[in-house]
Amino acid sequence: MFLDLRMHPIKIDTIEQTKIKLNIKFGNKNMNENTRIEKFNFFLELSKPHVYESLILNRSLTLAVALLYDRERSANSSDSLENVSAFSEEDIRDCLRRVLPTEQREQRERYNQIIRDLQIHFLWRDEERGTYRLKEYARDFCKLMYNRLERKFQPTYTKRIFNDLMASLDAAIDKIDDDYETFIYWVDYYFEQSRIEISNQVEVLYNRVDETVRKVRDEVKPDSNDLLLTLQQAEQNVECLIGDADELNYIFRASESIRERLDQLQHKTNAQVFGNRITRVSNFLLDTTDDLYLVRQRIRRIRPHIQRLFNVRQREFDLNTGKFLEYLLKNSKVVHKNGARILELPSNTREKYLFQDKIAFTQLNKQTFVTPKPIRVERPAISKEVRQKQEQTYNQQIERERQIQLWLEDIQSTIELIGEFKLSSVFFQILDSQEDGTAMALEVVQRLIRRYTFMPQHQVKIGAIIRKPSHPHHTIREIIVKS
Amino acid sequence: MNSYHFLNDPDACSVFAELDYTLRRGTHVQRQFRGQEDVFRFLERNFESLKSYYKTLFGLSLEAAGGLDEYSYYYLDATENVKNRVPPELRQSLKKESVLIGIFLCKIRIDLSDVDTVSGFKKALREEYEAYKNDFFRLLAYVTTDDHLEADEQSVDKRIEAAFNEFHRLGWVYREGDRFEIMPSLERLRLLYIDEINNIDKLR
Repeated sequence: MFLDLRMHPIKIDTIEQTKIKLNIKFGNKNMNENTRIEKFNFFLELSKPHVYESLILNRSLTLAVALLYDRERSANSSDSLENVSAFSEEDIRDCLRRVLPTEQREQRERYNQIIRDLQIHFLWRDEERGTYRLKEYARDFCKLMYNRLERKFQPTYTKRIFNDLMASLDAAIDKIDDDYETFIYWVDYYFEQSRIEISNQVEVLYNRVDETVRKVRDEVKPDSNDLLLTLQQAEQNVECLIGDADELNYIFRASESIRERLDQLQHKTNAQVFGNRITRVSNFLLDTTDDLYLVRQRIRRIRPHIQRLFNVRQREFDLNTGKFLEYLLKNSKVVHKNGARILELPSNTREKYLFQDKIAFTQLNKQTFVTPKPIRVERPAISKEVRQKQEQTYNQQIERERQIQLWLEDIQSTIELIGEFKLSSVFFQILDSQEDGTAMALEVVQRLIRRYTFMPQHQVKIGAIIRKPSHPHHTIREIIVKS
Repeated sequence: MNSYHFLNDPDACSVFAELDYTLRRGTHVQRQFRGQEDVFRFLERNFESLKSYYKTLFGLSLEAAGGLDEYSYYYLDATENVKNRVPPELRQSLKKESVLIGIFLCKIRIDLSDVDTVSGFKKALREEYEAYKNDFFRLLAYVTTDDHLEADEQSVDKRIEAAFNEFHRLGWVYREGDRFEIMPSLERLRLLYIDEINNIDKLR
């Protein structure tokens, strides 16, 4: 049988294409390695030029990215509604300045290059807004380090992990007759997630014990004044570790419980369908409880040792405190200074200072600064009659004074002209000139006497009593003023 | 961007001012002191950034002492080695009478005494620690004889009251009326005199 190729054209593959097609169909493992679909080689990929450096940053760049991560974390934990997970280029330069100080003239170029390089795996650039965000790889990169450094032993959290594991295992086992894949899912998903965290917690506890032991070994020096402090801290750390170790009891019981369930499962079902999963989980739990057991034993071994050291020093310190009190009481004295009695401690005890900031707020009374309100002045009501009478009296006084002044001037002129004057004449003259002129007459005479008595160029002589028939009730001594 | 992350703590607005005033007053902060719980937790969470804040801006040293959790306490210190931008006149030394009374308080705590009232403390001084009584009266009431009048008793009592008020203010004891509770930070008094206490045999 012949095929007329002119009627039935067929496509001729290359030899390579043919081999690939045969491999796909028949899965021939003896095919040449180079002709297989290319397999991913992690080591080779990582070794390629620039790949490693773009994925694993040096110290300065790692710290710069950590700063950005920290800022993003802080912003996410606050209530701010701002889109603070975006950074400006200046923010990134700030971080770089902090961790990689560079001379001004080289700074721009160098930082630009770094920012470009970081965009491969660490930063997204939003060209429209001109902002940057961390890529998921950067977050994972930082989160791994953050969790590693921030790790604390959290017994409550660990208990919860085991509780959840047991609950989810029970649920999977209940369904296993209908669907055995639920158990596979439990191992591959629930267990695998918890395994990392459980391992971390064990490691944290172990590291804490190591740290405590290292501190005691390196920092405890017999003559050091800090010895007591160091031992006190170590002793307290160990007490806390003991507390944490006691929490491990729950974990031991929970692990045992899970392993029992797995044992039962193994005997009950055709465990081959699960592969080595049951063994894997059991072995992990066994290793974990062994590690925790070792940690607990270690804590229990170092505790008495540290306690012994601490107690000896503590006892000595306590004893010395009593001696110090006695020393203070016997050697302190009361002295007189500036008129007051003050207590002085022994001269070989140095004065100790405690920091106390005197924060004082001066509260000002508002009244000091506020202009007082105007006071309402109540003017007394004055009656018209009283007013008139007052005016009249005033006018009379003015008139009287005017008249007295006229008399005085007149008399003074006479004295200056003649050189002598008899006051009795003016006295009676005034009495004659007006009704009830006694007061005025007396006033005039009195003023004249007062004036001329103190004038050295005048003499005042007092003579006999003078009477006048027209004024029988008035008498006056003759008073002569001579210049 | 700065290292003062405590400013981003959700409780910063409500707690930081109180924390700052408390520390600056010279008060020691610990978990057991009633009313300081929030301040203590904030300090615990943000210790490193607060330490940096006080050191960089004020030359003050924020110290953590006492070990972990239950015994830990915090306080501000202006040490000789730290560049101190706060004027020297803001350093205050503990009253000497308070030093004597405080060391005596440490002593009766060491002796596992169950004294927990100020009146009980006064009684302990007069009855259980008679060997110290005359010296205390001499130094606190300026009495030179063994014959103590009512006025002398009152002088000593007054000093003890003042000392306990000072200790409460410093956070060394928690006082409520006549009752008091010794705080972990009382240990600081002994640690201030640690050189003298450790070398007491050379001093005497």
